[in-house]
Amino acid sequence: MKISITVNGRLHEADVAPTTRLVDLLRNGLGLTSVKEGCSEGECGACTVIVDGKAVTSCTTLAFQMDGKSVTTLEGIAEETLHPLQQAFIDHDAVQCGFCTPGMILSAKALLDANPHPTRDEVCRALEGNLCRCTGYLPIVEAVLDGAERLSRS
Amino acid sequence: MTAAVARTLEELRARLAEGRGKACLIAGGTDLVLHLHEHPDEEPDLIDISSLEAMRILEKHPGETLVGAAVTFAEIEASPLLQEKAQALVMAAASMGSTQIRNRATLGGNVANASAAADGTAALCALDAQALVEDYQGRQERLPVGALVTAPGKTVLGPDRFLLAFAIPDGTGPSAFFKVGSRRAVAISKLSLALGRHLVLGSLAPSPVRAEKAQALLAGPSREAFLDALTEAVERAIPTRASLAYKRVAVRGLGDDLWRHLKEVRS
Repeated sequence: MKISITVNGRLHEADVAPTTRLVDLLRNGLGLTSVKEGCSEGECGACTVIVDGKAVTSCTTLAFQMDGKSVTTLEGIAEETLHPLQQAFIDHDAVQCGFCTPGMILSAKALLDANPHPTRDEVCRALEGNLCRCTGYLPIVEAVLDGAERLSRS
Repeated sequence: MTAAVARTLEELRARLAEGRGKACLIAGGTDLVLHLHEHPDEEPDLIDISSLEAMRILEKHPGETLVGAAVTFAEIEASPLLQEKAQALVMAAASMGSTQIRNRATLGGNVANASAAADGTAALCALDAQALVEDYQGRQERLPVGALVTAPGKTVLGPDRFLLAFAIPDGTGPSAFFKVGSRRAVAISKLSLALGRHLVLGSLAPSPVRAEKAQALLAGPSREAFLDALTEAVERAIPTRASLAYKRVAVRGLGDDLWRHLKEVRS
């Protein structure tokens, strides 16, 4: 099936098989390898992307369902410099192996886009679907809260 | 194997008529995509209904509230109408999956997937909701949600019929939903307790189980008597299951949550 999909602001025409998942299209079709495939069942959140403003797991979404939609991956959030959330993750040592980081940052970005001043509980809830096996989560939550501060100043 | 998007009921009916028997509806995909990924030999004709207008409604009608089958759990959780009319469903939606899953998963998908652990189904049964079921020729009927699931993964719908919406009657009284899973968040229910017009136990049998005696005691003075009746209901539902030893005790925790919640709501 032929679809039109906007990825990181650029319109792409793609011919996808019925069962091609969004994660497959993004990684293999468009070369956006920040999108990680972890559990393949929507549990770990490593494949999280933003679709029309909402965080979704791209391993539980089929590519053909994304016809006409707008998708953001980590590649699409930095401009001249790193996105404030990315810089906050670095400054708070919220990255160790890095595998969960793209999904974490996109879940955080979707939260902050809808709710620029979240409470700690709201941050934790927004990140419930993103597993990290390295950091113990605390630096990540700090980074998101600090990222919210930085964004509101910028 | 094909893929198509149905944006109107007419398109969906035409697709179903065309693809008799092989058509497979997909909404959020949070269950179906995993299944398809694990079973590449299955080649269904997929019809995406996630943006089908008539399935996206969330409306108050005389005597009832209609929730479209393709309304997501995130939308249910955020709906002021459902917060007022169907608190059990709102609580179930909020406790289901993660943000990413709630953004995609739909109420109709939750029911049609027919998992015994479907939190949406338990809440709908408690609220005495009816499913608006339609076939490919446009014939509509109403079925109690509790009558849809016949066995784990099986429903009465068949390949020609689909869920259009759910009708939740007014005046179900105070309603609430509690569950226990293997962790606090993103956990499949091991057991759930939903109150609306009925008190039901979810994740116990293929369909939610009513606990009438416990419900009658919920208005009484004795919390212990209420909790004992819940334990009895579990013992009656799964007398030989290995999980009985756990669930007969776990249900008391859920009962306690509900008892305290109602006390707070009433005070």
